Amino acid sequence: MKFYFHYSAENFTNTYILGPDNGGDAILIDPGVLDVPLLDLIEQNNYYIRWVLITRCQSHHIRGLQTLKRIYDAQIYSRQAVVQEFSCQVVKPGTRLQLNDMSVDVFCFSELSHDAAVYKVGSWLFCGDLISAGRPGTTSSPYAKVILSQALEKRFFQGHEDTLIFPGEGPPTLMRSEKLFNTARYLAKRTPHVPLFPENPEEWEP
Amino acid sequence: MFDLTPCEVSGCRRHAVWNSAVCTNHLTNFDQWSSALKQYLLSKNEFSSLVLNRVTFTQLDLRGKRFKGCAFLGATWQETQLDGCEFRNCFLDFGSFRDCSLQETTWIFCSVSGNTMKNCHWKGSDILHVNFNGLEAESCDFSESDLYFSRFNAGTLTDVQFRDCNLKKTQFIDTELININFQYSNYEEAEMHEEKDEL
Repeated sequence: MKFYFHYSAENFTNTYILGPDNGGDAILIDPGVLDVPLLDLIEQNNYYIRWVLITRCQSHHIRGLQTLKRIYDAQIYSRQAVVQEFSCQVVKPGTRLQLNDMSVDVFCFSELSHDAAVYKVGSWLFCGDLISAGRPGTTSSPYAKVILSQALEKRFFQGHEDTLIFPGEGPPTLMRSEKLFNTARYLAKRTPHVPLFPENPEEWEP
Repeated sequence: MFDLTPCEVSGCRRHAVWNSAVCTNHLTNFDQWSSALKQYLLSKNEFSSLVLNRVTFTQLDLRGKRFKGCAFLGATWQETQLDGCEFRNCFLDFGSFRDCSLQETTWIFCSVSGNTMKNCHWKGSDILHVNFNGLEAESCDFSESDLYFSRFNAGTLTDVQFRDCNLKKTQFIDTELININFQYSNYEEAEMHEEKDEL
């Protein structure tokens, strides 16, 4: 399988293409942009974008979708039923997609956002905004960051050490590297797990 | 892009390396394999999808070679000449570089995290979207390099030169900087601290 990375200087985001060695139907992850260099990349490899995986429905991940849909009749997979004006196949935690000979497992992290999805293809993980090399994803508050860090600790950093991670922003990384250097790990460890509501109401302190 | 195949020896957690079904530890004819690899590397200029995890490169002249989608996890580079080389979509994590020359190299979208590096010269390189997190570097020179969107987080850099570099969106968060020279670089465009919303 071939792998291509395209950087959008406009959005500061990464777009990825996965396709067979000799051309054919390909997957595009996060169409943040569809510019001439990306189109050249697709066409020079004789790819037809048959599937689009969206890690998050924010503009910097989907800005190129309208142009892409004018060229390719692609099936879109997302956490939302409609992205821009296009209907999507909704993915849920545990969904497994079989896209020709590629198996794609879906993981969701509502601690980051209700529309955040992570796609695993073999030992490659396309994590969108969930983490960036060495850091957890950007959140709206310190509290949300702690919640996200705890979720990452429980469900993300347990992954296999050799997993290659391709974030939506910034350079690639390795799961082993994230286990050692991601600041979310320090945050999760030094912050005790505090439930949103105390289990025993008598523990409430006015 | 490389494919990490487990070593054929049962119970081994390492990966099979180039032209073999086993890892470097379980190669029965290591010297023969090593000389074949050396010959292969010297015979071509472009390589893709190579897996050379935990391989030691000593005193090799690999100037001008291009590597695309290759894995060099845990590799050791000693006194190796890599001037003018190009690395794209490569993973070189948890290895070490010692007395290497990497001048005018091109690195695009690579992971070089958890490495140790001593006396290495990267002068005039394009190092774009490269993950150097956890780097322990000493006496290295990155001067006149473009380090756009690269990360040097959670590491220790001692006596490292970053003179006249492009540091736009380059991160040095939680990194111990000892005797670092950022002269003539756009230091103010680098990120030195975690976002303010951190606890």
